[in-house]
Amino acid sequence: MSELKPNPLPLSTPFPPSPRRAPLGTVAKPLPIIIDCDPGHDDAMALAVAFARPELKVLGVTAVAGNASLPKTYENLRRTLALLGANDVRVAAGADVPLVRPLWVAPYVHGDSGLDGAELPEPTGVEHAAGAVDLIATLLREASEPVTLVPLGPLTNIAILLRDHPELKSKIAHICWMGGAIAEGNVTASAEFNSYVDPDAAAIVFAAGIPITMVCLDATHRALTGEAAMKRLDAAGTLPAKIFADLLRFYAIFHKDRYDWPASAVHDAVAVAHLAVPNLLALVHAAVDVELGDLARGRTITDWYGDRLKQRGRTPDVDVAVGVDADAFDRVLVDAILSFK
Amino acid sequence: MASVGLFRLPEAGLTPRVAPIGTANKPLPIIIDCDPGLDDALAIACAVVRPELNLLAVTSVGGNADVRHCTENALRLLQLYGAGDVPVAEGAVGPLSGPLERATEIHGATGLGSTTIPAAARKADPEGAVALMARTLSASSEPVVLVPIGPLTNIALLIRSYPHLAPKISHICLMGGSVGEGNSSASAEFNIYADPTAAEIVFSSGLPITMIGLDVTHHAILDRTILDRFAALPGASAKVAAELLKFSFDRSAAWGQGEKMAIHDAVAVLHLAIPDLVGVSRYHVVVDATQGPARGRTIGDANPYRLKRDKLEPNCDVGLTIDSKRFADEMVDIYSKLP
Repeated sequence: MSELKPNPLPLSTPFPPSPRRAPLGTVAKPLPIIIDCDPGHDDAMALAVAFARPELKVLGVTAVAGNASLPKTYENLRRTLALLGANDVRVAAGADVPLVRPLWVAPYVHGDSGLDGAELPEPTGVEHAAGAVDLIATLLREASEPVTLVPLGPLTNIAILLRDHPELKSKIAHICWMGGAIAEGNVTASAEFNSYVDPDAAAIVFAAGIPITMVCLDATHRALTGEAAMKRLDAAGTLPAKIFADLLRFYAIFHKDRYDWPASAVHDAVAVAHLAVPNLLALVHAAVDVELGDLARGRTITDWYGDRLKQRGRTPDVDVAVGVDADAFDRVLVDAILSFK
Repeated sequence: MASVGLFRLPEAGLTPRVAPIGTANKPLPIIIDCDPGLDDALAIACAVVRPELNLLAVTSVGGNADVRHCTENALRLLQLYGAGDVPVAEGAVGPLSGPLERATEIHGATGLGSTTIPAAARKADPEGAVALMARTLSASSEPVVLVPIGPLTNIALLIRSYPHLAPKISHICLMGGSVGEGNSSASAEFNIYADPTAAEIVFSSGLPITMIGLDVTHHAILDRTILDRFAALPGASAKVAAELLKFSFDRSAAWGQGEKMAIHDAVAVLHLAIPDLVGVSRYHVVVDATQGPARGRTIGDANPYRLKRDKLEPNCDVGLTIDSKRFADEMVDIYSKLP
């Protein structure tokens, strides 16, 4: 059709939810995943969910520069694994800068170390010296079934993987990414942190033809972890619970300063939980473009309007999260942390 | 599900309006730059009727329809409304840069649906839109509010061509943009999308601006129940308005969007006449005139932390809320006072 109808939906209109296209792990058949992250408080909590849930099988974890520099995120990753007792998981460090642009880090959120607020145990994990992209490629090659990638930071490593190993695309079942924003970003009004830091990588990943779920701020800003979770963690008396409670207290400072919220958005853990818990997120099927210009750099432009998509010749191939069952997420997160002794 | 939808951070609370407000004793002098256009027709009616406003001139711009149609529509509407003495001049045929965008699928090929309004007894002022605006500003004893409700091409040309007249522009109250989602694209609203370069010139001009965008106008909705109320009015103007609305309702229904229409442009005019109809918030707004997927986006930021970090001052009031029921009542009242 040649004529374009206007989008009839005002900003606040609830959407009829679209069915999920991301795979869902079960206890009987755990979902194989590889996590790529930049810990980061919410990354650490996402790892807790990943290792706690019996529906997920973590094949390996890689680090990328983002919330802090690569040496810091890699160390924080390995310290978090020690805290979770995941000593024999394979780990590797990846890209230390975005593909094109200088690195932007977030000490204003995560402190200078990238994981301020608590003392974590000494680093652990089985190190893969050839680096993150090689580890992911190796794990994909070794896997007997397609694997779900769970990037929780800038998409640098994933973009390099797709460029270096196009032959492995068929081994990737899905990419469940925490990042992006439809309405309002956080680093800028336009963009969420992970897409802002490496928009070029994000553009590569979105154009790769692999099924993607975008767990964006429009969902994660609605699942705030605050007083109720803190009470349960403080009452537990275990070392992991104490450390995560301290991390959450530090993480809350940013949310109070920036937004005057009494609670924190544990973004990354929402993306992991989506792979283990059904009906956690409300999804819209949309086409996503990543803005590479300077003004709206990293904006994930999300279009679900059917007639416009038709006119643009685009298919709504991304699952975009626009809602979350916040109470359910709160339980998932705290239960996960409390499962570690 | 606890909550679903697009997430706008809560710091965008309402702030006191910056736009001047007219009173019956001291009407606000305004110039409307428009592309009639169904909602433009209702906006012009607001400007003619409300005693708080003094409509000095109407200029046309290519937008919803071809500029020749927009000019003729402005002349016919003013004549119909009994305001055939308001100066009218024709403006830019297309944008400063980029392709020509039209919205004839919404407004009909001639801009006013399938309605026929008696032909105007006069022609547009031959000097053209920008010169008429400049002459009107120069002649005015007090600063004037510009009310652009189409693409901003003429306004950008005015700002660039007559910089010495900036002090004569007290405010620009425009319909366009969105800090949320767009309509021409997921990023951009039509008026900005149709000429992002002009919009960039206007928003970076330093002139005080109120942006009446989709964030508020998508809540300024009339539905089919308004037709009965218009049918009860005696004048020919109300009949024409009812026909325009019916054209839009039928089109909207055929597209599966329900029998309703957002009267975008009228909101910008009424904001200058009614102090508490529209709720606004202070934003820093910058226009993305690049060629990427965010082309035509009005990037709005109200976060105090980011504004301080980026050394930005809010430059714009952004309309966010409207009393929808009162809006409908005001529209009926306005048409009750027209011939």
